[in-house]
Amino acid sequence: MIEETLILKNRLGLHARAAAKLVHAAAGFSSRLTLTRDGDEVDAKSILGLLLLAASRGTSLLLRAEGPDEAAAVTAVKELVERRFDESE
Amino acid sequence: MKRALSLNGIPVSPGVAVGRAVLWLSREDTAPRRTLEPEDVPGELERFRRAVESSFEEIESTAAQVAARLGPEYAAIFHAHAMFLKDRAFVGPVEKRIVQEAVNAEWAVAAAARELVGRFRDLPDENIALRATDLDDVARIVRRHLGDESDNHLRVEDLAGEAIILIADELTPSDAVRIPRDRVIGFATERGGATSHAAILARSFGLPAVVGVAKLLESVGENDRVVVDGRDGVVWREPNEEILGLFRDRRADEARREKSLKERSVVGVAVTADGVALTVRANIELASEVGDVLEYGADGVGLFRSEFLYLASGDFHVPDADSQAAIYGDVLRRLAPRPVVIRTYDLGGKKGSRQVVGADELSPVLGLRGVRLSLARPEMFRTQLTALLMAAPAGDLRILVPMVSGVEEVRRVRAILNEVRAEVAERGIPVPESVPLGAMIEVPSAAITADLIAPDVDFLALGTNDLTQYTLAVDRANETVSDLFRPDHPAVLRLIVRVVEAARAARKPVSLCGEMAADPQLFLLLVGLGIREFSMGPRTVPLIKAIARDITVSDAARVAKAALSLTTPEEVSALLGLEARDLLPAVRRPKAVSA
Repeated sequence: MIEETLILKNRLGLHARAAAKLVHAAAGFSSRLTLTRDGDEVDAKSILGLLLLAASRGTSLLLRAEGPDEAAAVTAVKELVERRFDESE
Repeated sequence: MKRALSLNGIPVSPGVAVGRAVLWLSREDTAPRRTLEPEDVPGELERFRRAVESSFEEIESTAAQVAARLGPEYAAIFHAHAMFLKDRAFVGPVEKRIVQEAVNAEWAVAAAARELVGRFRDLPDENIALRATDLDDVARIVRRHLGDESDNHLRVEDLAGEAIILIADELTPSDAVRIPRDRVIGFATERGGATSHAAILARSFGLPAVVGVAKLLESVGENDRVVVDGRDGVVWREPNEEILGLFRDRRADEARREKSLKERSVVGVAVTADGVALTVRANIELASEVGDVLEYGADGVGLFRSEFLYLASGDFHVPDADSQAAIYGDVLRRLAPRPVVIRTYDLGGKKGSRQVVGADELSPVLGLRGVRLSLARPEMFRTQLTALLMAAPAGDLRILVPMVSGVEEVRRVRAILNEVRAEVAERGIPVPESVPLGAMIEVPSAAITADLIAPDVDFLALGTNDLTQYTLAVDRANETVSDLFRPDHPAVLRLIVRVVEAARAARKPVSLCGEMAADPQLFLLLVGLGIREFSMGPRTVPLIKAIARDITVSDAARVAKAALSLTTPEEVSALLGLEARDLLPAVRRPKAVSA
């Protein structure tokens, strides 16, 4: 299992479009991926779960990955978050 | 059968529509509950999964249709629906209920959705809490695919082949954008005023509409036969054959008249009988309306309300510079060489204020909206200006800034525009030396100081909807005071005169893009007050151009001079009514259909 702390940097936080991108990124891996905020853990492949985290800019999230491709999955999700979900602002 | 009944309201978009009523309501969130025998549970699970699959296909097909009709940016919301539908956080609890409680799938879907919707509504972030509505929509689609007919809202898709009239309490701008225009031929609402956004959209879509109809929802039932008379402001429930016949005749007459007006409209700019050219441009909200601009013979676009790019996306997302530039460029190219005035986002106020401003405002209409919001959120504004400049070489672009209250705002915008231009040019993207920049005059302080603003801009555009609202302190969507909303009020007319004089002194063009210009009598008055450029919903352009060709500026000036000496809007209106009999024979209309 790998754990990594991520901090949301994009202006709108984990809003609908960003959550959709995250789900698309996570869905490509067979590992189990979760995000935890203040003890609430959700499936990173569930857009509803991600939205229910109500994570705004500056929120710290714990990414957990467990499975055969866990390292690649963590890298992919982390890069997406660091690229601010490719948003223009 | 119910007896025939007529209800009066405010006519907001002309034409006659005859169809079946579909109630567009806040809907039931429960479904009938049935307990299953244990051996039926696996079959029920299978039935639920099939409904999810067919719902998925329906949503994807809606997304494809919307993308083709309005552009991919409008389809994003439906892709999000498709993801919600297949999400374990939704499907899991439904299946769990079917198995553990041995209940029917309809009930399990409604209960699981209700629980999730409640959790969304409680979220502190307004952007995300709004997604509750989408989740609700998705659950209803699944219930319909399960054969649950307790949902009125979705009957729109079910009434195969029947023309639909929407009956609603009120339609929000995003509701109006999402009306399935291939099926819905008109609407009536219990609330709303003549210049509410639903009304403006109805005119731009050419949908007959009546708003502010008291007792509408208690009088009209699902599937009732309904006539919406958008010219005289009447809604008929279950009209008899005789009344239907009268409407059929009128519709045929109107179609003939519209055709001949359109043929005259497309031949060029209208010139009055005494030789003065009057420009009549179109107001549009969606890039897909460019076809209408050409078809109805408008001399370009006088007001492109760009914020609808954002509102219609459904999830309050600002498209990036490249995709905005593609949309603006397409509009400019298709209308070239005609001018296209693109107004920068007029967000805030009633348009997505909480979502954009990020805070509750006690009086959003007096709050952070228009240029104030753009200056407070410079990244969003710079992205739009970048897109506009990238698109500029495609045609004749002019940029208009909304809600200006003083010249300092125009100066700040000009400075940002210059910076953005330098950045774009530095990236090697071709941009014109300068793009005309105009100020919308719709706040009384701007009208009063138009002489101070005019030297700093390239043009002025009077926005008489908001100017009237702010000058008279009347909320035009509030039906208890909407009769006080009078663009022919002496106060508004005096401000218009002031702005025309300021523009003339500074040798800057001034246009008028309120709905007021689409009223034949007020149009005559405005010509008399010195306005030469107008902008209105595309479908009213042919009538106004026909009137422009019939009148003389000297008659109009005489009428305006007399109007300015009057003391109340009622007196102005009475004068215009009298003058119209001689000066506007083209708009004399046949008697209304009545009981």
